[in-house]
Amino acid sequence: MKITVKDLIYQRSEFDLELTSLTDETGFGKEIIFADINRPGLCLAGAFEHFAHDRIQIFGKGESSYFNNLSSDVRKKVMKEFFSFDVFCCIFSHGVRPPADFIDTAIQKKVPVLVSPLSTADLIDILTRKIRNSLLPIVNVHGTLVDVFGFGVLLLGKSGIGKSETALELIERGHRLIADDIVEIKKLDENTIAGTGSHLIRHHIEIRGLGILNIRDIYGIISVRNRKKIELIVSLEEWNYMADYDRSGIDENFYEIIGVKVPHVLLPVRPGRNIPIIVETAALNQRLKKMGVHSARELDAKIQNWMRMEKQ
Amino acid sequence: MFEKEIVVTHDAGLHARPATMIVKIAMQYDSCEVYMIKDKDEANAKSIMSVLGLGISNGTKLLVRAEGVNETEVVERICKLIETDFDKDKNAL
Repeated sequence: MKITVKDLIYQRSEFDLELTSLTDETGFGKEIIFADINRPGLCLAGAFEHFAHDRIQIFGKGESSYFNNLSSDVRKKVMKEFFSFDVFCCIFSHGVRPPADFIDTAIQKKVPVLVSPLSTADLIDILTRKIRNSLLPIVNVHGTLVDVFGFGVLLLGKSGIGKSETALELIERGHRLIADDIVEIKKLDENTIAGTGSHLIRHHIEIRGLGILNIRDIYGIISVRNRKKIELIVSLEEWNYMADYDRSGIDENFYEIIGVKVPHVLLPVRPGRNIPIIVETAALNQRLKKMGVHSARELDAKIQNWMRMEKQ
Repeated sequence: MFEKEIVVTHDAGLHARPATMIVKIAMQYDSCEVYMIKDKDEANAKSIMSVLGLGISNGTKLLVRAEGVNETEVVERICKLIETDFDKDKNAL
């Protein structure tokens, strides 16, 4: 998701940066692409080599007082050189305001200058967290996300295959709905993805013949949750007699979403197969595997062992 | 693949009723995937929740895309439905 300088100021969140712009709306549309910041101390002392000018420049108490105490000639020279780079944005902590000529030059060069009453450490901490969070890759997937025994299970498959009906029966059996139809998936780190519902249609489900249902109102607060890590993906498809469905479960299959590999099960749907119970069992089996118990492999090992004994 | 851009002019935007009309058209094309795209968000036009979830208000620029059998026809029909302001008489379903 995109994050701009303007978002830093106006986007409300749990932790607020309490930023005020000193340069009006200068550079408000600039898009932030780096989560790391730069402390320009060395530049102010005249060392402009490897100046990371494309990062957000944080002026702490140290930088501010050093800069303000420079003789006016030196200060002008440093400022000229500083702004000769395409500086992304400057933020002053502790509510310290830079001198007027700094702001004027910044406006000329279209560099936003912001000030925050927070301490430098807090500012950097919140800022990096906020930017990192917005830079996480997001993708919308057509599917249904359910929490089955505390395990995030994403159901995929064509429209009409029965994802919502499966979810409904799972909810009826005490599991929880996170999202139906559109699942917004965010990559939290290299191995983790989490899904949430679109805020407009959150906790609603459409069942052919009934229409739109509000699951939270029907089954109560216990039947829903807002976000869940995705730990198993179940694809539903119409039974295809030519397809090669997994019969032993010895090998692990994975489904990749935004670069994260998630254990994957392909389930053929046919009248008489109780999909919700199979999904429940798949979730339990996956949990067991995660704890180091692999049913298929253990049975295989047992049989191989027996055959060896028999031979002797 | 066939796609067409259209601006939604329906006063109240695509709420449940107009969205249902779109879904009903898309559902008639079994061997065709139909999508509605707003900015970067993509909705499956065969799913009412998906279409509602996009939050398509009056003035939204929309891309209707289809891939499969009769892709041009389905896109044109959906666009016509939106253009004629979901007038049932002009769009025999």
